[in-house]
Amino acid sequence: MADAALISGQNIRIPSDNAYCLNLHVADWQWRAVISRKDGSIEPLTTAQGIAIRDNRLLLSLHDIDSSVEKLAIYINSKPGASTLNMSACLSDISEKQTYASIDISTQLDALRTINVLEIYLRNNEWKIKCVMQGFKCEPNPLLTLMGMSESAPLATHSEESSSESDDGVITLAWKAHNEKPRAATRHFMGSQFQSVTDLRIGCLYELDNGQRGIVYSLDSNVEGSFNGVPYIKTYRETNKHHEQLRINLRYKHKLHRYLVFITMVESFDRWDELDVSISFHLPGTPGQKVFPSTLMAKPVIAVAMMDFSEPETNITPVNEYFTDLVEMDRAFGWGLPWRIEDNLNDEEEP
Amino acid sequence: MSISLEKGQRISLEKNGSGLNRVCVGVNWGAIEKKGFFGTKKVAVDLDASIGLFKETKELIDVVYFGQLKSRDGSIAHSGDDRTGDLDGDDGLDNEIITIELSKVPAQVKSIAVVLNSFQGQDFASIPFASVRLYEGTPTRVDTIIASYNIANEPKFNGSVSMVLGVLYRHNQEWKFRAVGDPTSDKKLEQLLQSVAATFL
Repeated sequence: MADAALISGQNIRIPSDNAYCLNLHVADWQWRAVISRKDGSIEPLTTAQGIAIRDNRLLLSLHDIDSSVEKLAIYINSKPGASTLNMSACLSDISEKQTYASIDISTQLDALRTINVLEIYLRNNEWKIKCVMQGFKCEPNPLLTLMGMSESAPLATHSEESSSESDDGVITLAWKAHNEKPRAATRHFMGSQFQSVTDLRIGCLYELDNGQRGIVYSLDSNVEGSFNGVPYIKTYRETNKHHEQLRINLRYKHKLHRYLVFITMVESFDRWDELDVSISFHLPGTPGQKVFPSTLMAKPVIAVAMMDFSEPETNITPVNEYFTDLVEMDRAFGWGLPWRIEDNLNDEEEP
Repeated sequence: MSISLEKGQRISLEKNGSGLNRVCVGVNWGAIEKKGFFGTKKVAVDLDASIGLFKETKELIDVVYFGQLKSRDGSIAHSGDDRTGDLDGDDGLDNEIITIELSKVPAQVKSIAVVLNSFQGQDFASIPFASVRLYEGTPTRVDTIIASYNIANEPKFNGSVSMVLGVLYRHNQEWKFRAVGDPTSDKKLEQLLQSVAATFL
């Protein structure tokens, strides 16, 4: 089989009984591999049967790969100022003597910052490799969010040094845009194309080492938090992108004590299990964690997890408790914030 | 490069013909340690860096302080209120940082006063370490220090709870900085900004 230089959209069949070596020359870009399974789940590749990572090479033994795996996708992600010269991907046999397919990444980049370079996938019992070369120019990146992963999550990253941004703690809330299943009655009146609006927000109650307590919440710009100062955690969001983040400035780790991460349903129909919510925790030095609230519970506030920085090792303890409002959650955890009820009724009555 | 200004010295915030874009005010301080029978006790020190924005007529039009972390026009942002200072000695990181995007400051603002006060009224001299500086750069990168004062150890700050770091002001199309570095007798931010308008603008 001759070496095929693939361009965007092109795919070729590759013999299923071979072992392969995928060589990635991506300069100082980061690369990540993601596995899709037949049940629809997607996960970053760490280790899997028939797949191994050595330096910047991916070793594949196709017939050993678990039968539930249907796709392996390779993403690359640039750092600011990263070189784009001489970047390529090359699929060869395990001894690297015969090349099956190659992709010249540099000439097809087109100013993209995060790119799905290629996919190796099973179709009709045959393995194929496809050159995708599609991605995003913008930051923060919706592609990774779409995959349910945080931007700087430690995937199968084998890049040299991590950028300063990935030294931050990142908690990402994502939920599916089109998985909503409006109830039959809604469909009847609104038509089958009706997409209900969903708006979830992320926040946390914080307590610093010096005893200062408060709230950070993406719903209100007055309490969006602060990255470079107290409370060293800030919310970031993109309107209508189903993407919310909390970023923790770990340069100040010695000043942190604990954060109680919560999410709230601001606009939605009422069951968490229909929203495909995921909250991923990425803190350097701790294993990445992901929480999926999937419950029939209709209460709009979830206390997701407690992060404790008081010990040398950061602890993330899933909580998964449901409340009708933030005040009730505050009481349950004994945080003791001075809540104030604002009476807006009078303003509305007297224009 | 570091330029540290003496009192009354002025600097034009213009670099290689292109106007300076962002300056930061950083304050770094520590809690007071009191030794007693049962060991050392930490006493919180709440220093507050604040900004007053003034019109040509010296009328105060906006304030950025711990209670209002952003100017109404969005050009100035405060990092948040630290109410104790460093509890375990100097960590080398600023406890409060104010970021000023000069190019975004509305035209009607003629001067920006940078002040500091001790919220609980603790004498500057009682604080183990405290320094305030104005620098070019970002909260994570200090490019050039324009003015810096060691308020805990310089004798002239002894007995005071308020000080004026300096004033950024417009002069013909460009921003300049006049270093002040003087303590004042004021106790609260409101009075402090009044005396800035009366004395330093």
